[in-house]
Amino acid sequence: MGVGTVALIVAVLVAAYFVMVYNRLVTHRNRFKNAFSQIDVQLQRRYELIPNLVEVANKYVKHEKETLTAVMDARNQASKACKEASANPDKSGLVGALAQAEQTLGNAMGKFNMVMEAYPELKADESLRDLHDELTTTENRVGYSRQAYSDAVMRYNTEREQFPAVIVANTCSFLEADLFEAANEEIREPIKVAFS
Amino acid sequence: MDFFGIQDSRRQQSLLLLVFFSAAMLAMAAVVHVLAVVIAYPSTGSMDFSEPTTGAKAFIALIWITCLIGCFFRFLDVRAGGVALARRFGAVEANSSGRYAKEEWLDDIVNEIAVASACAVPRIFILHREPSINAFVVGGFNGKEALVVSQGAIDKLSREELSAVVAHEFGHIAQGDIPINMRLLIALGGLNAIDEVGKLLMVKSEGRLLAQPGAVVGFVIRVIGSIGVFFGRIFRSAFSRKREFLADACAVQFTRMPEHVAAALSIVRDEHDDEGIHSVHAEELAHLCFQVGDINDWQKRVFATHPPIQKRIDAIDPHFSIKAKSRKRKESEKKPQLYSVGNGRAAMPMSGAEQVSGGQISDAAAMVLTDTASCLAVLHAVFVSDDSERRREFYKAIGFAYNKVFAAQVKEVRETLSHELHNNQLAIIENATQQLRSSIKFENRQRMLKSLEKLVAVEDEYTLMNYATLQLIRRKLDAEFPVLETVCSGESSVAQASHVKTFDRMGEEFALLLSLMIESSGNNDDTLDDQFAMALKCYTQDQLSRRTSNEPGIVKELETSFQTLYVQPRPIREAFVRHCLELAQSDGHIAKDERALLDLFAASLNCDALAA
Repeated sequence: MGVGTVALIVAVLVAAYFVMVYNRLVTHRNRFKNAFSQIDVQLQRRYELIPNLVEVANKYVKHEKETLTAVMDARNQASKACKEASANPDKSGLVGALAQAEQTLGNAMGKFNMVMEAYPELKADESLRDLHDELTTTENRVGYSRQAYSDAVMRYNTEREQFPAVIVANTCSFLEADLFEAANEEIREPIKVAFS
Repeated sequence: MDFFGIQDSRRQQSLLLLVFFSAAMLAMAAVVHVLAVVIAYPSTGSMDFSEPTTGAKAFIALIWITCLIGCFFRFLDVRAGGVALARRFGAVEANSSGRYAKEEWLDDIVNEIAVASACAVPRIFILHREPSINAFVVGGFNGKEALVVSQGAIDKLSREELSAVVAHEFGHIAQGDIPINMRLLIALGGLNAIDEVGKLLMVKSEGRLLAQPGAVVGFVIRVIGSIGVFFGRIFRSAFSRKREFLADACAVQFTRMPEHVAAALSIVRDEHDDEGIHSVHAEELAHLCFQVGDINDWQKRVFATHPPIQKRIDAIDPHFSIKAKSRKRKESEKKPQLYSVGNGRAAMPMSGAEQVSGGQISDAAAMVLTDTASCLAVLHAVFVSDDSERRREFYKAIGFAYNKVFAAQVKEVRETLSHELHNNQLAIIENATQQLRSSIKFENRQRMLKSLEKLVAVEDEYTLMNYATLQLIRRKLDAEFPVLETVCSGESSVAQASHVKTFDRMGEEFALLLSLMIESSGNNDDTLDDQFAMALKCYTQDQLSRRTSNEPGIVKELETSFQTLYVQPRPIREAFVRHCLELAQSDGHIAKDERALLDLFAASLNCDALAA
């Protein structure tokens, strides 16, 4: 067997390995993208529910208009970030921006819930209660889909960072995927409560 | 727990098992080949393994064709798909606008875990007649799985624990266990068929083993078949055990609540009465279930489809039992017996005001309950009717049975405590019986109860509420329960046998108890009918009419029903009492009558320990 034949066999083996790793990376990348689209589905449902909730609240709440406006603003912001991220989930920073917008929305919703406590007739409204229940269910699902997304991202990132897959990943531009986390550290800090 | 690590190692182990299985099947093929040549040797005189004779070829073909036919029939059996299989096991599809809040829970949970596990949402079925905690997934090859959850799991587990059980089942789906299981079932079907054909050939030759060549062939086929089935079962069980650990690890991954997965398992472990699923298809289902009865025997352990529950708990959290104990202790320190009255028996959740007051009585009542005679008087006063005519008669009867002084005392107690006897009856009875327990001997208490019984019964008939109250007093006085004695005591084997009925035949008993329970809520007749029809559906398909508490002889019938239900397994009784509790709570609060009945049911069905 000549040197040429050996070289050919080695080259074929390397190429086969390259193809295998490449395919595995593609599978994992598609899995995490799919996991992201699950978050997207749940978030969209949530963004649909929030305006209805605000509309019902509008009938009862007279003096807390800015809370409602803040909720709607945060919702619009998050919805926009969601659209951008879902178009391109593996682009660096977009998922982080969405997570940040979600956090702002979460804070606004927290304030809204506090306002709700102060209006017993608002709390007693049946349609609001139904909406609120549905929102809670959707939020649970958002939580679970985020978890599934994080698992998929972890698997993908582990796969692409391992040697020698990292060579294939870097040559074929398999980018590192972002976890669903707020990039801005300030926002992640717990809300401070001051008693004055 | 490092669930990703555990998942990887279990997956490798089960892959190894699959390789072993394939190797075993190849080995079996080789053995069949060799045996065929050896059997044909006397007639042909040839021992050539590479070129078997026609007879040997026929033998080999017989074995393989039998195996293939067996596989084919088993395939027809499982091909039907998850939904058909679930229905065959007697499960009913849950609808999202469920009858009970807990059915809606189940729907929510399944949707959540489907999101977490990135699996499609399976169709959800409930085994309404299954009081044990269990769940399984069935499916064919088309990927349409059906998730079946037992009523016991829905009733007994908290939301988080039910999520854990559902997540475990999703673990099986996500790991692709369903198709593998189906294939194994089909393979086992083939091996079984070989065994059956061997049996058939041997029976045909009626024991003259060496006289007929058919019998020898049958014997050899049987040996091959039995060995195949034996190893097949061992393999399937070993594989299934590995997959259980894998599914547990998946459950932790999907819920991220290891403590709840462990808690669900520990609840299952604590159900001593329970020996796995009670369905007729138990054997077929074993490898699919969330759990089967605990196994001690080594022989059984080899064939067990599930690892011992303790091992599963330890794999999730080795310190779970210690943590659970310390948590329980802390909880009991925090809540000093809010729900239990007095000696801790008959603990049922209380509604509204009662919950706050616990076993508290007013000062006026405390002033009355000072000595034995007044305690007795109070116990009699509880039964004084609001109707003036009956009241007079009752006082007269007391005077007749005891003496006029006592009758006057009862009257006085009734007048001073009339409000409290009405609204806080339970606490009053509790306090009075507590004193009597310590001051009167057992025999005297029995005697006192007998005379009280006579007084309360009008022509040997009680009203339902009086009966319930009387039984409560009886229990609080630690007296014997004559209704159940006939069932429990020695000479009762005949009596006991007469009460043993299968679940399907107890429709009437359940109908009676349910009607009384529902009636006590005090709704109007139409609502009651609806509620009754809906509740009865859980127990029987028969259309039985609703009974009312003022029918003559209802209490006697009730006693007979208790006797019948008393000999049923504990999970059935507990599930029934819980169902009643749910019915009572369905309108948001538990009325006085509802509470009295619940108490009666729980005590009469020996579910005293059934706390909130």
